[in-house]
Amino acid sequence: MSGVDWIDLWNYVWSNQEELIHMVWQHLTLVILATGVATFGGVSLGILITRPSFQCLRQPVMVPCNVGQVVPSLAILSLMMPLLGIGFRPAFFAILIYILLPITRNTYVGIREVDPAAIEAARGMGMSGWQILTRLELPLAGHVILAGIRTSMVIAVGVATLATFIGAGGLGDLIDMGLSLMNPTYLYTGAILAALLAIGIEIGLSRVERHIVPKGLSEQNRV
Amino acid sequence: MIVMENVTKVYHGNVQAVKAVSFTIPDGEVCILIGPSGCGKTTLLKMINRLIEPTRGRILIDGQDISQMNPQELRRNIGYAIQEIGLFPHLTVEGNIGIVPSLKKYPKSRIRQRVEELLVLVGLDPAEFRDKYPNQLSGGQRQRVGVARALGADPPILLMDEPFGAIDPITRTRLQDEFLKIQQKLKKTIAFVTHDMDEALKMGDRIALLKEGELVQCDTPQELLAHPINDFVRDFIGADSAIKRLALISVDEIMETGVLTVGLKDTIGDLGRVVEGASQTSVAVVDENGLPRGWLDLSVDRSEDLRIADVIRIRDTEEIAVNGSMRVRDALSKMLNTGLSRLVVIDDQKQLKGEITFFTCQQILKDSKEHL
Repeated sequence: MSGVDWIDLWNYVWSNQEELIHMVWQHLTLVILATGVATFGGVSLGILITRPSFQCLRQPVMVPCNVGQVVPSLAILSLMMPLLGIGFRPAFFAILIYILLPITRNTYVGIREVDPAAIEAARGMGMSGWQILTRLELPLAGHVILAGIRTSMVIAVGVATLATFIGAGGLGDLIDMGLSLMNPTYLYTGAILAALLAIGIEIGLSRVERHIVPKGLSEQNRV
Repeated sequence: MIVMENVTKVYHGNVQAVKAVSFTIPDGEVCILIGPSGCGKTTLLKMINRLIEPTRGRILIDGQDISQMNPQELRRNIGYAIQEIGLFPHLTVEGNIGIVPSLKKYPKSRIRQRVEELLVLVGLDPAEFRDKYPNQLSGGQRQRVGVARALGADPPILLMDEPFGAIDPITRTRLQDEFLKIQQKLKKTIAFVTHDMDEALKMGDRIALLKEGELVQCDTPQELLAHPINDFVRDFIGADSAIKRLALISVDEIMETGVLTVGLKDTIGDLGRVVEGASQTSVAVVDENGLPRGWLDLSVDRSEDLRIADVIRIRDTEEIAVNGSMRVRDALSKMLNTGLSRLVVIDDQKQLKGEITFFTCQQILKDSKEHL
């Protein structure tokens, strides 16, 4: 494959805007839906396993999460095929399984890092378990949880490019097409768009994260 | 009033952390729970706000069995301060102190006003501290906020678990003194855990000494020092129980009054008038403002009519005087430090009230020794 001709590439992007936007949209839908569901599931699981009465669930939750993360993403995608066929559904579940861990783990760690003395004081002052969670634990763990979501979303953008192999579309289609046709324009357009997507999410969510670090925890506040 | 009836806590079926403890904390009193680590004092404290449930026995607050109350409601009416303080790091000082009032749904304006009162009470300037975050405060300031937070909704009862334990000695003494002043004003019913006997003797109206989950002795500090019921209590008080007793007595209580005085500007010739018929061997000398400046020995040569200022050593009032509200122990250590065998006792305006001598201190030590 020869080097990329940037003018060709620009012309291609310009004249195929609609199709590209459709692909980016497909890609994003997959990422956002999977991250959304994983966030809901991961945060719930993370909260659950930090409740004293559900301590016994910690291992059964964390171990499969860790294993899920170790298996190569392409393998998970392929494993989904016999179970769920091809298309959006298997890709969605594969990504979900893959990114559940960082969110669950960060939720767990973020809540665990809350000063036990503050929790003890909260109980002693008559706060209910729900009040402790919503007024103390989640505000303090929020930025750690968001960091998990950010990592997950970036991973999801990457895994979603592989979803083309089980027919879920997205930017992976373009990359795959570029590879099989030995066409650098397709290949680069797909790769660059996927990279931009990942970088954009990373930067955007980092901004939000910095914003939600409680004021009392930020370094410049310290004496 | 808090009444404990045969309160027992058994862990894992066989470890008895607290064994059939019964005692009463009357309204407005500070009851110290003290003992070596593992004696069950913190467990006992936490049973009062149901952070720990007793296995057997009852705890009554104002005649009501607390096991019948909603634990969260109960806790909102009991202030709770712990050694680690546990301030919420994401809330300001105001937010922290306002936690219980906001749980009790006080209106915002009332919370604000309450926070201001409490900050003044614990000696922090509201304008400066209200909007600070816990990580901007020193350890002592944090503990003040911790105490203010415990007092948030003006609960009649306070539970304090070694609240001054992690603070440097100088700040600790200051916080203890301030806390005693606050308590004089507020008259809360307080259960206070510590392992420090000096703190117990200083802060407590009553001391409950625990050992391996059992209540060994529950008495006033004076009684505990004078009549320890067994060797464990004696050992726990320490060998210096006599000196500790001096810490319970204020100088006012034992000072000798009716001290004769002469002025610095008087002369030897004036002495006769002052000491006539008196049995004293010396008189105190005061300056024109009434501040004590030294002593004049009456065996002084009276043949020449010198000015008194010329025959005595004139000293600073600070050097030779103690305030009447001071503890006898502190007066004694001042005597030992300065090498003086007596000190004059002054009031807040530095006017002479009386005198305290080494002999008097010795007498008290001897009396308490006879008790032991």
